[in-house]
Amino acid sequence: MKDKTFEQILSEKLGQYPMMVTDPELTFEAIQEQLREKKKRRFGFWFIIILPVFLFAGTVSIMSYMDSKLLNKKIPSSQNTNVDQSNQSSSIPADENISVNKKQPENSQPQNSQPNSTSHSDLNTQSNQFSMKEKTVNSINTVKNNYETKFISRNSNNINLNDTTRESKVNENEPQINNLPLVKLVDSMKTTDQSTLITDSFNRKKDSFIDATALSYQNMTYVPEKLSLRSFQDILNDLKDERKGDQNSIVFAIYPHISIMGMKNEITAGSTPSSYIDSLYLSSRQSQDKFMLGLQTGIGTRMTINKYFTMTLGVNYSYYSFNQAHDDSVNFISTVPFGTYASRMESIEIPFTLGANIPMGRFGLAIDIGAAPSFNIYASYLTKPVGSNLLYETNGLDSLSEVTPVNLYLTGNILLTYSINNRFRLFAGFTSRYGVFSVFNEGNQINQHPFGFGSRFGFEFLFGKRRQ
Amino acid sequence: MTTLSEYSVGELVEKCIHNDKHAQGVLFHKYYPVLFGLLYRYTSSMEDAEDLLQETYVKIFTTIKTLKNPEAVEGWMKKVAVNTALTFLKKKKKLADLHKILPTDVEEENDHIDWLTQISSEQLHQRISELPPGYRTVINLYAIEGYSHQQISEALGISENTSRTQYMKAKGILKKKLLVFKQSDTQHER
Repeated sequence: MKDKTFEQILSEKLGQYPMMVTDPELTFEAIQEQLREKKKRRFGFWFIIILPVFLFAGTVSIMSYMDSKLLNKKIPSSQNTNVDQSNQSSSIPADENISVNKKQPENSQPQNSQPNSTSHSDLNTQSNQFSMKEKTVNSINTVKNNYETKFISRNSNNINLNDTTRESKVNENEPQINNLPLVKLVDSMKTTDQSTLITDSFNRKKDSFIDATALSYQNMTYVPEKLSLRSFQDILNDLKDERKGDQNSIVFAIYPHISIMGMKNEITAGSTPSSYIDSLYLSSRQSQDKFMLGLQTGIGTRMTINKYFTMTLGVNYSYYSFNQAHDDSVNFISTVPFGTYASRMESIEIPFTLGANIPMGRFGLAIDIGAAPSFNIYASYLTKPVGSNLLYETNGLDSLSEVTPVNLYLTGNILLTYSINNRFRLFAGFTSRYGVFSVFNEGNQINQHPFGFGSRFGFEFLFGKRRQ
Repeated sequence: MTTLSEYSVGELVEKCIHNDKHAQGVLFHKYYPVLFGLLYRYTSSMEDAEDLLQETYVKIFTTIKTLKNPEAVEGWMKKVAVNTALTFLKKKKKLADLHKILPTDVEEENDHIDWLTQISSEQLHQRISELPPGYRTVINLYAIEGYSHQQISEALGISENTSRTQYMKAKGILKKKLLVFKQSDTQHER
């Protein structure tokens, strides 16, 4: 017989060879049950994935909105970058009118406040004091750049007229004083009507464009004020961090967090069943639905070394719920035919992880992996037979004695972080864990291998000084 | 249960896409005997075949929206069943023998076995189920489902040559089994 014929015969005889299942209706019901379960799990999965993303995005949006709102409140106009406009005030006598960007007539009259202008209250020769309001929101970066070259020289108590002079020359690409955020110029501002020369800190005389007013800024001190949510000090710290990022710094953080986990629980028999009933019990336990829902919350400390590496030690409280419909395992033992079987476990974990921190501006990515010894503190099993309201419950110590007291989990996290400032950081991301714990029942040992994946979100509060 | 004649295949698929439980029941009852027979050929275990049947239908009902041609639903369902069975066999590591190095002198059995047509489907089914899982799988895929060796190699992760030689060897063993069965059957009749 040729091969073709051989295959044809096989195909004809077996291609449509029907076989009947024992109970088609029951099989179909089982399929429908599986479909329902799958829908639930799919919903749960997306809930776990989407929830932290939305929470994180929402928090960041709200914080950004609040940030910009507060800044807008404090700053008259973000458009105004010209000192000459801001320095024009009706309250300022002509001879004290500070005009930087363009020359003013010697006897220029006070001008009314214009849009985008900032008034200088209390600016007079008696007090020798005036304050300059911040001119632009976008000035922060410029302030960063200027800080060390300009204002770090505060120790001299002398702000160079040189600087002021430079600021008048718009096209010289020099840092401009109009970028100053909320700076107070304090003390001994002297004005003279006649002088057109300005003496800088090196006693060099320079021509001033200010015809009517020659200003001698002596012993002026720049006092940074609070910049909305981020203080000026924060900016300086950031600058320091950026420059000294390659040096060691140790930062401790406490991070309360909450995690939602779905757990796939693989059950394997740890011992040979001693009897036929035990073998049935084990096989039914192994075939039961193995999906667990976990909730974890905790607090811990995180030490950042070298800016990029982290060590974390914490304490977590874990709660796991394990539900099973149509289970016949425990019911078999308790002679109840079918029912709902649920168990609950609670434990305290001490996670220790090592990881890396990748900063990207305010955002960052934190990855860590480690181990977590888990101490079981509660276990219960609850059985509810179908068609009955009776509950068969074992809980507390009896059930707890059936599980191993200490288990070890491997754990890992991938977190997206957002720094509100250098003290407070939000995080959200994913966590996973794997471990083994044993259940001893009726002389049998059942090793359960829960593998969990879920979301984690919370915040970090950093304390302690950076050591440099 | 609604009779099959109430729906055309296209309507049935359309309703299943919209999770119509009734239509799903009709589709299940129409095709489960064939799919169950198919799965049993691969697993040789009623229990495993029943579990896989459930799994197959869950996959079918959740992915039926991807079916482009509703008229080809039967072929598509068979393909889903075959893939489910192959995944199961791989998971259980029952196809490991397919990767073993085979002797090159594969016997070519071209003798006349006209009596093969006289063997019932059930008896043929029984002989195939006695084959090792790897051989059984290749026979099922090539001779019964009509897969090419290239398709088999892709599905099982083996080379085309391995598929070809495994098939020849499996066919040789099956023929011998059938011959033995035929001879014992003939003796029994005498």
